[in-house]
Amino acid sequence: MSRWSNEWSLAPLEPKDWSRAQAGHLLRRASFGARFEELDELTELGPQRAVDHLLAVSSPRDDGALVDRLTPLLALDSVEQLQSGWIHRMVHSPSSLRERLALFWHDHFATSNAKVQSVARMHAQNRLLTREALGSLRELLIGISRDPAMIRWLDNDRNWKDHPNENYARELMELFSLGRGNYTEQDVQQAARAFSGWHTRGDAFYFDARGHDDGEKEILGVRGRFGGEEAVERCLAQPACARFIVDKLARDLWRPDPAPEAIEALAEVLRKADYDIAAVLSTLLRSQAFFHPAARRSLVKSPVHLVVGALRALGGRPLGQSVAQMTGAMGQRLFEPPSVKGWDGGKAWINTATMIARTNFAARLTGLAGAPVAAGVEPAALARASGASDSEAVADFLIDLLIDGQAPLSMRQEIARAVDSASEDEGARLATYLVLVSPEYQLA
Amino acid sequence: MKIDRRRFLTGSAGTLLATSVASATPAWARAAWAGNSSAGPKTLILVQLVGGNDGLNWIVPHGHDAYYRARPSVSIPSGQVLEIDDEIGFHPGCSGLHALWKEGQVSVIQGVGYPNPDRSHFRSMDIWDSARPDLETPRDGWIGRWLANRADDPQSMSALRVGQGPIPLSLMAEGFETPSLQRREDLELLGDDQLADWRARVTRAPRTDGPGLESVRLASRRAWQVSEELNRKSSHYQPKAEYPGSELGQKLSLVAQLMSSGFGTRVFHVALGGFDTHSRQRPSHDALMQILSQALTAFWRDLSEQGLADRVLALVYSEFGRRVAENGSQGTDHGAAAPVVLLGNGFSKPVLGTHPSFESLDDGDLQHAIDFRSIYRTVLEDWFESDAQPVLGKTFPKVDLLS
Repeated sequence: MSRWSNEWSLAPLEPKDWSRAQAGHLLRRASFGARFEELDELTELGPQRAVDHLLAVSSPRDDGALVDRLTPLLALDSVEQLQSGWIHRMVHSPSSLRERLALFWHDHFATSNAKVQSVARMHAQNRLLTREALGSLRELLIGISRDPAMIRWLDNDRNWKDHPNENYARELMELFSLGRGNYTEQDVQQAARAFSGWHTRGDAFYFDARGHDDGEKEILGVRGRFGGEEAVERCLAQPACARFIVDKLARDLWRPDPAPEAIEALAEVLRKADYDIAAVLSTLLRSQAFFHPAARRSLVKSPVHLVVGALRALGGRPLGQSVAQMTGAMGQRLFEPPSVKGWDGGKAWINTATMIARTNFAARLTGLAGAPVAAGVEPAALARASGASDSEAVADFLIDLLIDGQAPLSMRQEIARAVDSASEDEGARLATYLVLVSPEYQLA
Repeated sequence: MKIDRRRFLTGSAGTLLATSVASATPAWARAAWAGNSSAGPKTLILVQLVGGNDGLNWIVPHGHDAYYRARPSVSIPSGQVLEIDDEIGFHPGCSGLHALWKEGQVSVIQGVGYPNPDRSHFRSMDIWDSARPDLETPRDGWIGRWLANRADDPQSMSALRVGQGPIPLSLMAEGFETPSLQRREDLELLGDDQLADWRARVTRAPRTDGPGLESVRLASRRAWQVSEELNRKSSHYQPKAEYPGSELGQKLSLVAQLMSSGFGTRVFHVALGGFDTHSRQRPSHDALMQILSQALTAFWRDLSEQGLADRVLALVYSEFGRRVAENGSQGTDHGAAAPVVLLGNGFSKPVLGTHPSFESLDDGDLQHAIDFRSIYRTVLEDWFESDAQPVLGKTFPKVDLLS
């Protein structure tokens, strides 16, 4: 395995190391998992053009992909509708890398409607995070500082010159840009003054000049009559900022234990690109390190990832709000993260109740038990369309589609037996269910 | 003013001071085995108040002028406080807890915290949960370590979290799966026995391809097994107190149900969130106080009626208290030391420790006198009759919950 000697190399993967399984890995991380035709297409393109393709269809400047399917739902003023609407968009959008990153930023700038209590504001924040998902970190940080949902969530509408409220300023430094240990309590208090008067009126941002403290502040070692934009710039000027963001991205897209050298190298890419997120993704997703065996299946799928991936792979159309309810049972209610820190993720997704919920989702999706959650899930028809004719070929098809062909021999045999155990239709459903509840499918 | 006199008296007499070396098994711990109808292991209920509960508006220092001066709009008026004495008293929403306190079933420990308090929610929660402030990213919790050190079958349901979301760090340990459920229905699997057989067969082979797969395989099989176990244990539980409809009330009712079904769980964890009251604190915090008190009171009355209370100790705590002075938004920002409340049978000391001084604040925050790890040690040694040393690493003076 000498070609894998450098586990942390950011040099591009060579075409000779490309395979269908690598394409599956890329689609699982940079999207929500493969549709069958996508797997063929990307395998054909080779590693570099595959990444070019994923970036191009999700390009921030491609307004065509930004058609907002959620707007009509606003009239309903229900967070459940917004949850289902976004899941729907993730399933059907061609810009799947953009959606994947928007989900990352939702976790990063975690804002909950439980306190915001405004579907319109949550929707507006989702638009911001989707629009800038692969754009500029600067735009994201400025945008989120002015975002009406965030302003209510972290009490900045109560941050006045005469009595500053430091909630937003603290989380900007602790959770959004620098991480603990890279700022002082003093910096938090001074930055809070810089954001004083950043309020809302109606559901829009409103700068209240009279509530703003325009006196001199000292933030992260520099003095000036700073406002909120400068406070954000002060954070961006810290070497810790790129490191903090890249480390979090890496743990979401690549592996849970990235080496500090690799993070520093990627952080340098982000700094050189003036905080253009697509630049760092482009480097990471092409790299040998990204495809290294130690990175494969090293992440636990989030509930949304799991559900959206299954629907995409099997061509299912989610019914009503049941799918959003299922991700909730698995521990992830969109627009309602548990705290400003977002979801803990990783191994924390796995506990007794969430494993039962994952198992029950598989039963409902395949129509084996419980109330249906999606229309159009016909694994037997999919397998037939791919040319699979006997039980082993159907088993191989499902294992290839859902888990990159990586199943232990005994599991493969059981799944082929399951295909044979009932009618063509029922057998394929049972086999699909068994792949979906396997440990392999829980990992990304 | 009256307070300074009082603090002087208690301080000099030492009657309320928290530290002593207790050698014999405490009476309230021995009593746990004496009750005839409470066969079953001693149990600890962790009730975590998430977000930083304002200790000053929970156990209100109504005898301190400094409290009222610092909080013109956020304080609890003296006349509304449910008195413990002329210095402190319960929030008016805590009438149930106050009644239990009068019956000797609640004990209040004042001024609890730890050195160099951290004002980040997440960091401070990690410190409380792990009891290891020296570690930047602790991987296990004090309860997790205690359970992992025991000879129990690690697969037994020795700890259980009732709630949603990630398992709290306090219950985590290497190689140890803590089950979790919010409602009993959460553990009901769809499908028949045949489907269960297929699932078992597909996941029978150990996964050798990386550590992640194998641990997920074990977690899945464990979840399926717990679900079957729960279905087998038929419960004749009928609540003997009326629980409030709040989520906390429902969670505690489930804890009582699981205890009465003989699950043998040693530690239950439940949480109540919403305590991060940076703005307009009074309405939301007042409501939380009521929710907390009503749920705990119903739970305790139920346990007592079921004959289970003798083997239960409940610990109510938060990651930090809040700043003494209110902020400009009629709220309070992150603080430090705060009280901890215990529920149990036969406390002989209704109040432990002294109220932290309003004169010597640390950056606007109350300073602790009792380290939370002293309480942990007391729980481990006097309640569970285990050695606290391997769990806590260091030795902390025990809290004197005895007569």
